[in-house]
Amino acid sequence: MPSQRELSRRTVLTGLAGAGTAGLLAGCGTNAKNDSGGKGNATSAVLNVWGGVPPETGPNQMFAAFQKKYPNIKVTYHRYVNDPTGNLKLDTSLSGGVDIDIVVSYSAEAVAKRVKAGLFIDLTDRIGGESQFAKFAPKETHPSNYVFDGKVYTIPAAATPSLVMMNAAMLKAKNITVPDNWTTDEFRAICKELSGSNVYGTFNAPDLARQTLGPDDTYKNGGKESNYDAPIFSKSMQLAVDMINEKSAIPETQILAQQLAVYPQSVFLTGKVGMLINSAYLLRYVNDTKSYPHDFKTLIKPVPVPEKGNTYWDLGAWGDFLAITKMSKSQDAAWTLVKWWMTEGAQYMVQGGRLPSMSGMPQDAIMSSLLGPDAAKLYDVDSAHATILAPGKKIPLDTITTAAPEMSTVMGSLNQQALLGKMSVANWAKQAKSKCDAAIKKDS
Amino acid sequence: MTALQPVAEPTTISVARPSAGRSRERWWVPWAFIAPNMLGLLCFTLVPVLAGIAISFTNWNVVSGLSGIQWAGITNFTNLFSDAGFWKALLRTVFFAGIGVPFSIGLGLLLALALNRPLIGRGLLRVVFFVPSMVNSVAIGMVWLLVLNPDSGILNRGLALVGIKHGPLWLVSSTTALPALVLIHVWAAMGYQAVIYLAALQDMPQELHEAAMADGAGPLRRFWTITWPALMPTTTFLAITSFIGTSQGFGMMAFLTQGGPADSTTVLAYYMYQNGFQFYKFGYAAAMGVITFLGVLVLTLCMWRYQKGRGLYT
Repeated sequence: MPSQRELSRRTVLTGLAGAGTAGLLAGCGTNAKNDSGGKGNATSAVLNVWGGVPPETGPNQMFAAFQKKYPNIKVTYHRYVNDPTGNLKLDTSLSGGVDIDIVVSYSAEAVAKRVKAGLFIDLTDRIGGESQFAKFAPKETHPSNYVFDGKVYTIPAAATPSLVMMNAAMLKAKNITVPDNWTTDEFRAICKELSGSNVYGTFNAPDLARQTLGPDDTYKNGGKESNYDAPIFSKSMQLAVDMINEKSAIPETQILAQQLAVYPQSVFLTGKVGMLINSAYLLRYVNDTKSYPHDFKTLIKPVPVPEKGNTYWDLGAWGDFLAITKMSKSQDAAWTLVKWWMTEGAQYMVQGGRLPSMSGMPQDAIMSSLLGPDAAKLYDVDSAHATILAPGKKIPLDTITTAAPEMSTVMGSLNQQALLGKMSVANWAKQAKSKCDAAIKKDS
Repeated sequence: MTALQPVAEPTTISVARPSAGRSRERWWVPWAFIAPNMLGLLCFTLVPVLAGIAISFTNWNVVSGLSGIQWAGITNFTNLFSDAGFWKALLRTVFFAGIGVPFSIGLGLLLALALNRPLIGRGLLRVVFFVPSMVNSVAIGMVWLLVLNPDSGILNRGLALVGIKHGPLWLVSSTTALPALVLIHVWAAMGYQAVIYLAALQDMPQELHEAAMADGAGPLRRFWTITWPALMPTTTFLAITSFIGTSQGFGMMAFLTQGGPADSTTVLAYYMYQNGFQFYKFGYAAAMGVITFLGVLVLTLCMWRYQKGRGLYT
């Protein structure tokens, strides 16, 4: 029979456990209950900003310039790493009530998750009140901002187009001229010519499906089904597999062994691949000659398209989605900073490859900031200007996020199997369709 | 004849015993001593374990805070049974632990037996073999990443020297990645196992060996009848702790392969991480944690029961 004392101990332990649990969970509670209305003083506050860009590649200079103009608004920048762990750290801080005024998100899933959790204020009226931000207001066709039930909660500060970085010396040695308006077939032929012993024409092949289908390319039926049975996906994968097999593209085994998916610039800047399809943010590594010493100029061309004469989507993306948190006690001051960031402040972020989403900044200033002080030595400057500043780019914005992380993981695994030659392209497409459909069904 | 002397009455020593009343008055003294430890246990072990169990019955994405917690009952557990990814991850974990633990213990034992003999530089060798178990898994991963590189790694270069021109792809092939991780684990763990075995070997009474030798027992006979039974408690300890450790293996997979290529190294701990930290399905990940805990507990109890009565000292 349990004695009085044993019962009492149990009670003490249970009480302690309960108190501990309550304490732990209370720490996760949100104290954000404010609406989108004005709050605080627009010209005097202390703001905490969380973003993923390293402070030395733009944010430090931008906030210093901001504080010169608004000396009464102090800004503290906290950098989080934009990976699953970094995003989780940000999310737990947001839901746990950490003092954060402005958050920069970098993907549709991240924005959707935070908006649906009620962490951001509605910016619809504020954006509507500024004519210069008209393209970021809610709209159905070709949106430039994420829309949730007719409202917008973020504003993208960057729009980075895709481009092909090329080793000008390798092209010159083979006497190859690359046209501005070129096709995937021409790209493949040039890659073959550039390839040699332990040198490959390209790091990667263009994503034909994204170019052709644009935003939400992996979904159909309004996000209720995956789209991997569309033939263009198989065609795109077949191109990548064929280029690896004919040795005009770097093998997947090397990408995995050297973890090049994260650092593709290293093989380009050491001359192991002749071309690299990516976004402008990678140009900062070309400028960093201390870490990546190289003696060739980088030529920049548009991404090749499947067929001449048709219009295709750019492979770049809108980015740096700025949002003001509901818990912010200085929402008006935060809006002051967001407006400044979108306009005058954007120029400071260009050095990190974040091209401004708004036109208006002098193009020469953009290019000199992007290509750095040694532009003439490191780049074929004319090709860089012509490609990066070319008008009429259609940058897609995904709006469906159902099971997006799960689909990304599934496709990462299947892509590896196909690119390693462990799975046929037909089987890849079949598996992609069934596994992504299953993920969507589970998440719906 | 000596007369019997009367036996002296034993002196009564009075021992001061605390009265029941005084004992009750000072009931808090033992609690005060164990309180710091209890507090640590409560905050950093018991509360997270209880919270994990509670979360396993919910759907929670963290971002929504406490208000976003939804009661899910046993749905997370029932979903696990129909999740092919979970079963595959479980099989990979069984492979990783099932091969890695016996090999690391076996090689650790051989190493200990070798290092227990008089050798020149024995102390240095002991340190050399023990070092990997003290090194951070990321540092170990960096070294093995270089060693196992299919093109420039020293292992495949060595194989090329002996005529194997196309060595295995190691960490970049879905066929060889998990065995390669087992190899790394065995290499990293066997030094620790050897040191523990060495301590047990040095604690073993030499008289038993001397007596057996006098009876004409050879080295093998002495090993099976004396050394091995004497090492049974140590083997059980190593088997249980290694099994628990390897079944939670995560660092190598996260750093070297990120669960790939093609999910081939997605073991249970990594699958849990994916569901929790990448998909924000913390309830589902917690359910996986609870099932893993129960599985490891059952296997640990089985191992414990198996060794009972088999050791020399038990």
